[in-house]
Amino acid sequence: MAPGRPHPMSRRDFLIRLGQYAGTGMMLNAMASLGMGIASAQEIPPPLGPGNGKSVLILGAGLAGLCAAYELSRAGYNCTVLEARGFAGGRCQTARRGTVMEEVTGAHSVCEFDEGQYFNHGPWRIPYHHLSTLHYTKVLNVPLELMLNDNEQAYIYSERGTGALRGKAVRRQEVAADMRGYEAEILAKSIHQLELDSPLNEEDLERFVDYLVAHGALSTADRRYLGTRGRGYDVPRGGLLNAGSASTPHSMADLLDAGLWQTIRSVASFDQPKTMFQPVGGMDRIASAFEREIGHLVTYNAEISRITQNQQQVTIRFRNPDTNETQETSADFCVCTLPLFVLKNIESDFPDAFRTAMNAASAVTSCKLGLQMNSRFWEEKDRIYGGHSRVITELENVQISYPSHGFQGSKGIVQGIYNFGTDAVRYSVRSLDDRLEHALQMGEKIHPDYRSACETSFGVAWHLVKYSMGAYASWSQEAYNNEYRLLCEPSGRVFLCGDHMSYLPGWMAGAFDSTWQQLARLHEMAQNA
Amino acid sequence: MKSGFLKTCLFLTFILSGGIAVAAEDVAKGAQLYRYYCMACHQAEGEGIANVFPALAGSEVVLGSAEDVALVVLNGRGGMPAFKGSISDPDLATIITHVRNSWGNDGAGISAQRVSELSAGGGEKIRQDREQQ
Repeated sequence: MAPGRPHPMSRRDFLIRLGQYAGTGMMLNAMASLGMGIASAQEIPPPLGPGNGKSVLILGAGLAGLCAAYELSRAGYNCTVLEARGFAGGRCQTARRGTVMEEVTGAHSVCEFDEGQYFNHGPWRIPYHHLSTLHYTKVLNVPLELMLNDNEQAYIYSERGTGALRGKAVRRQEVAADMRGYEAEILAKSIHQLELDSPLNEEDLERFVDYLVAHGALSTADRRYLGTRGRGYDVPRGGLLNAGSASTPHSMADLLDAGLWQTIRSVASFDQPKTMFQPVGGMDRIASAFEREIGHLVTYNAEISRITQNQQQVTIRFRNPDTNETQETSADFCVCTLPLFVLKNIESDFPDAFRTAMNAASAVTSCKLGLQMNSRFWEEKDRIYGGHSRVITELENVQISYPSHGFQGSKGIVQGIYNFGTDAVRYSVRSLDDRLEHALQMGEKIHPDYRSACETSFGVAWHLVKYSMGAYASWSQEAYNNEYRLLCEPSGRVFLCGDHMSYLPGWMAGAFDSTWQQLARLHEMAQNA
Repeated sequence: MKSGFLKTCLFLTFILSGGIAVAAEDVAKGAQLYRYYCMACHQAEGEGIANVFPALAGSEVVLGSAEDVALVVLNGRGGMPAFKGSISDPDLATIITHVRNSWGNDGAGISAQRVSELSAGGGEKIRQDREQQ
């Protein structure tokens, strides 16, 4: 910075001051003009001026409700959180010894993992660009560690195709090296015969071939793919006279016949970077951190049974599901974070259009199962540390995920089932014993030790869990353009928040982002009231 | 003579259901598909779970317009997932016909072709990125 020049105001400082002096509405307009439109991810919570003791009832102590209580109470609002469950966090849960899971069908399980073992049966990974989630892990001092979301040493196995590789566990690095090698070889050899749309001169083409040679690990002399160290050795190199022995590529025909190219992409998708984050000790550390700050504001075992309002206040009726005792409480405003599948069945005086709009979201079904293994055979025998293998059968596509923590320990929890949609509904019809059996059948296709090493399992079918009734909401584009927009607007003094009120359903960031934006609106309404 | 007998047998294996003939094998398939995709929530006898998942047996919605039922199954609604794209149109037709003719229900069936038409035209649904969270 040149000497004497005034200290530049950061975008963040500018917005905070604008929010303080000119009001939230002005701030939101400024954000939009700075390219931080309210539909895009925000870096920081909105500045909320003094709440002057105005009262807010927050329905649900999932991450959206906890976030609302944290921000509003810091701004001087008088907050009460009503939570139907006996604990905070909503779906942000971690299974440990003693964790109980009940499904509406009556299935009941208690986690029997060893002390110290845990499994994130709800959210389990945080992308680097989920700024709001990373904001809270930072300010609430939740330590993070890397979550390996991609591991090329893991396997792909498929029964769908044909040929020599059908029904074989193949290292993903072999598939990636060979497919990209053959692809580069074909392109490099034929590049001068291709009619390219883009006008590339001879020099460009030569440079492009250089890229192909490097990318596909081709021989520089004749541009052939003959294998590469990156796909692994048949005999690893070692000391003294052990020079190792290179591996031989699979044939392109075998790879195509078996359909093993399915896991290859030029780049990880935006939501699934190759490395992500997870809180050290379990995802529920995020919920616990909020609870540490504002847990005293939460009333547990408070199942919402009626939502009504008039010009001045919102009145909530709730009952204790154990004692059936019913109470009522009122406040100036309400932040409602209940899943729409739950909210739509609760008695309320929302306008008909508002109520009906809730049906435009449909439920996403999803199951998970964690298996405690008495040895880390995937590390000790297969040298797989974190990441995912994939088992594809005629009927389904099963992802098996290895823990990104506890490396080289004596035991570990493998995520043996994580399915969606029809795979999930079909899986959830099974009894708990049969769910484990199915997971074992899938896992032992690629790991001979899978069944014998398994000691106990714990899982969830989110669409069968009371107070959740789905893994998350799904909106069609049409619904996003219509009903969703109606629900984004406050209904009187009630503001809907949660991952279902975002373009990131199922992600914790969706819960935080929607809450931040609704709190800004609530604050503006409170100031103008 | 023999072929006439076969034709008669074949005819008898068809059950007329609201104008759409349902082959015996489709009835079996409908029950099988129902177990796969519906039973987890709506339960074995279509009785649902009180205050959670609606009963299909005797349901006004199920016995109303078959096309409305198809649209709900295709596009989802509230707690109901959207099955478009993950269950084939012929299988959806078989399931809907099964549900409308089981547990005392006696609604008309729906053809695979009609389900396909509704799937293609009835408000194009762009699913959320189906990638895992």
